[in-house]
Amino acid sequence: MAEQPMTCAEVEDLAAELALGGIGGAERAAALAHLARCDACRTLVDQLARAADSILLVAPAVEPPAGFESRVLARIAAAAEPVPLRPRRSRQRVWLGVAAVALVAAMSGVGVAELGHGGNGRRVPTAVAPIASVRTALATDPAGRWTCQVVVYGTQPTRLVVSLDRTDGLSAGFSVEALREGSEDAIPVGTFTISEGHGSLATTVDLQAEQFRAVRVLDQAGKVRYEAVFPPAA
Amino acid sequence: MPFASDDTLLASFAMGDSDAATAFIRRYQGQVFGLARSMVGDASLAEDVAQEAFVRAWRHAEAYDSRRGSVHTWLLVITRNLAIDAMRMRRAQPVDPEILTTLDLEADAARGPEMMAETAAEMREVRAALAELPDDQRQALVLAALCGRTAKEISESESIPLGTAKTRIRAGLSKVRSAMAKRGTDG
Repeated sequence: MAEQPMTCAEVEDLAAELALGGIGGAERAAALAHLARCDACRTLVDQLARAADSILLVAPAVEPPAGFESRVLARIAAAAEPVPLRPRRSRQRVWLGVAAVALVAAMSGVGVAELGHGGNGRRVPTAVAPIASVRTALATDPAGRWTCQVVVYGTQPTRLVVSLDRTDGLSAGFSVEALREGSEDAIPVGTFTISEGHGSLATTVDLQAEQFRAVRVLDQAGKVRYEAVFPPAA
Repeated sequence: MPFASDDTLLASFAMGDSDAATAFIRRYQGQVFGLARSMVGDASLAEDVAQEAFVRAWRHAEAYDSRRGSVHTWLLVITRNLAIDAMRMRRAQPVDPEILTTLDLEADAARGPEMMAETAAEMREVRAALAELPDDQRQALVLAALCGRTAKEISESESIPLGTAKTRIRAGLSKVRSAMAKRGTDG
């Protein structure tokens, strides 16, 4: 039997419990159907959800039983092993599969494996070989006080993460540009803001990881504040 | 990589960097397990939830959107959702809410040198907002947010009408939202 559509008043009544994850089943489905077509209620629930999510930070920390870390790593390794071959694997799934094998290999100390297809239709490690590179670079401001970290990894697309951490509590906007090996032309990558000294940009770029020479972070006046130069690619 | 930012650590963790995996788990395991324990009560089930939270974080790192909140909060939301699922699947009985006596809203916000300043500030804001609530609203909200209790369960455990439990949760959460929004504007 189809659920009756909820009214705004009914959703407002449930908004807090929805935001806290306390509503399930048909009631949740009916509320979500309403949110899909009502901007006002969606905004209300979204704002309450952000407050509810922040409350999670005050949960008392409790150290888990000894060996927890090892058990998590083993569970990830187990989750990574059997990757079923699917006719229409998305690029993301391939990437995750590669990452999974990379993690297993890294943790077992045998290097990184390429993926192949086993006779049972599953993807299995077949050979030890370099995987899509992960490259990192660091930069500090001219006074050497604040640190900017840059990580590039993956292929098609390459992912770029730029993180800026300062202890002066600055809130400001920055732009990011990439420099390619053998070229002085700057490639605009994106913008980000830092709040109370911290912020980051995570995006994709149309360059191979090994093609990066440096990443620059510019202030809103266009002045280069950080230049993170990558070590030569292996 | 003990001093890597949360975003960098997550990216490296997802990519399979074993040092990053270890650092990521160590940085958050206390809060992830603590939240799971608060919600499901049973230590064994809490560890299962906490382990799965890290697996989900590794598997779905690409879905993390820094505009929606910190890595810290994102991981705790994953934990909460898994804990709620586990409680529903196992039809777990509500446990004695130890958190009501152990939650310290006056404690120092920062937990260790690795907590990002932004997250520590957010934690301070939440603590202050919770501390300002009337006792009955704070208790209902903490039971709902950190113990996974439904309004019906709260009405039964507190011996109050269901409508009253709903009202307390809604009023408490709305006040926390307003207080944090005000601080964000003021700050």
